[in-house]
Amino acid sequence: MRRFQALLYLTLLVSLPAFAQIGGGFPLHGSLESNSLYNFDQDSPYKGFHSNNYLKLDYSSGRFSAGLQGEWYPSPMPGYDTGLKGWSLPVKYVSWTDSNWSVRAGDFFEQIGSGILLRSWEDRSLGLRNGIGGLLLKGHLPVQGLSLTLLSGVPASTSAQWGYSSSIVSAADLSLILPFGLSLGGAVLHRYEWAPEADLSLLLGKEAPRSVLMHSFRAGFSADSFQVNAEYVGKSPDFTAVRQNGASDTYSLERGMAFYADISWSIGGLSLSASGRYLDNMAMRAYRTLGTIAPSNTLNYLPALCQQQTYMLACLNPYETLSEGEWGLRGDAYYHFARGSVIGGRYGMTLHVGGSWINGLAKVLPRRDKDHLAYRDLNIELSRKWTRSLITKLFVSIQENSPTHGNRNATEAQNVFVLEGQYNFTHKMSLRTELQYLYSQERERDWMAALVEFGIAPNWSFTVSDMYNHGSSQEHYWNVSASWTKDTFKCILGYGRNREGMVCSGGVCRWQPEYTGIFLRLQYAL
Amino acid sequence: MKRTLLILFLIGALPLGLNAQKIPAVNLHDKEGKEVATASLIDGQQPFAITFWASWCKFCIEELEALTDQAPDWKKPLRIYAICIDDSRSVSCARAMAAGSGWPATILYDSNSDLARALGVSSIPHVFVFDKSGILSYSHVGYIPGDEDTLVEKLQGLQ
Repeated sequence: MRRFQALLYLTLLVSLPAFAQIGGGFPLHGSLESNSLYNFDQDSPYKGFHSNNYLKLDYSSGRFSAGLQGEWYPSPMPGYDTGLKGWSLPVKYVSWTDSNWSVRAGDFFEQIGSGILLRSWEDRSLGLRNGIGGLLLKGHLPVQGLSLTLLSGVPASTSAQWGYSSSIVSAADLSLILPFGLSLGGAVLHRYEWAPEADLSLLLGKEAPRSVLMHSFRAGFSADSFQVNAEYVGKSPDFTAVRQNGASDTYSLERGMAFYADISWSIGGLSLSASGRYLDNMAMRAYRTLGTIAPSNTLNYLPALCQQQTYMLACLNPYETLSEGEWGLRGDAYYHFARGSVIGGRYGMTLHVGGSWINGLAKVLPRRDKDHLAYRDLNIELSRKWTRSLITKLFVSIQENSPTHGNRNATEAQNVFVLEGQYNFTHKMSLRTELQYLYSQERERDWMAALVEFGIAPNWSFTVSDMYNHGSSQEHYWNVSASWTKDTFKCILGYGRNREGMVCSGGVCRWQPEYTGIFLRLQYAL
Repeated sequence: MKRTLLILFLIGALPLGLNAQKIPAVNLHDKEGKEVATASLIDGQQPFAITFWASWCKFCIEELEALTDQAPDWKKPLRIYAICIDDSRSVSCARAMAAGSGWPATILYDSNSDLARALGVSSIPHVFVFDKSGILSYSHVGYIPGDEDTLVEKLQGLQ
């Protein structure tokens, strides 16, 4: 069996360049992605070969379309849900679309409002795919600006043998665009579990309800340079487990509620945006379980309200949303100094200042009698182009994170400083460098990091990087990689040591173990 | 059974050409929240490019800045749509980022990545160039400084 799988994998790799060379006119398109790793660390439970592979094909002809997504995990990459192992066809659908209506039967992804009520989507970096298998109908009603979405189906599950969870989700959404930039919307969602875990009722001391109902209202206003949106979401009593940080968790049936609002405004070179969110028992699972919650076992989207960091050291300790109860505020300001101005110089300059403040709700912090700080940060980024060839960026991030979401006094503060420079030798040849430093008195204390990337457009890119902890562990985490791109075919081959930690995207995080090995990433959009 | 199906469509895909891909029918949103059907991007007169970006994607921003530097040299304006895939976590921040940027592109929003998924985008930046009939002519994944020249050449070549 292993020989057969290895042969098929090799065939897949060898055939990739052939994909790129073939021409024709068949109305089929799709994409292929393969991520593989050979972990040389013999002491690791994740030693040896691991691979995640995805093939997506879509056929369309006139108003009709159909598609499939096949996935193959001979051994899932370290940190991915082990339930993914093997073959699967998680997405298969047929759909019909005309100018006013579309109907899709099979697996689909859909979002209602900001996603607090419902979001099904795919994020391969997390191994998350919470599609729904069923029927999706979307259309415009014969009233100017009024549109309707109806859906019903079974959410996907990586832990179930048949690929779907033991629940049915149905939702309806009405959206109305009014004159003068006004918009209104409302939705309801119902989840019914036909086979809930018996232990839920035992822990609760009463029957856990099989049905949970959610509803939402939203409103928006937009003018030329101003926009404001607000959304309220409510949830009927649902099973909730409150973390006790060491002691036994407590279980109860509680209503849920969320409120979200954002506002943005721009004038001249200045742009401002702010958002606020209140969450109370808002995690909505595809199925409730007392076991490990797989990343895909989610029906809604509760991202961390703070800035998504991209520099290596700035994202070492990401914040994870406390869906049981938190409130937060976030603000961002951009100022674009115009080209030719005194400060902007010949090519202009951009300043970004942003910050967030998130508190855990007292009701989910057993040691607190009032809301307490869970996370806050302040980020400043200055980007300037000095000449046609030279660009520099300065980034500072001051972060304070409570590992207990505010339940205990101890917090971890870290200050990250980054200097990035890019020099274009010619139109096709460039060098980019990053120097980073993290100052902290907690956990692993100080870190430093550097990255050098040399690009030769349009095909080649070479990267060398190292993260070094000189505060306590004295460990290096280095990587070398080469990337080759030809139109939509991209191949990245590298070797390096990866640090153990959380990988987060939006509000979902997955743990990734340490490994040292060769990795290969292939992707091709057909 | 599942394995057989997957092998079948792997093998079946090999000989198929994919050059006649038309822009998929998906609804995007403009900055005011109004629906914009992808079909409306096809005007039958001018080719257009779409490039996927997000506020957290530094290479996407770099590419859009590089196009901004080049724009004054274009003999006639090019139709470029910058499709933002920021989700609710950062979309208001993305709106603020784009507002005063001066990018030579119309900003549209694809907050649940429906268009990105339909076009098989698995990492960004990813650009697609369509001819005046909406047929895919060129696409490229990733950004290395200098790639913007190729994008502009491809678009101008279809004018």
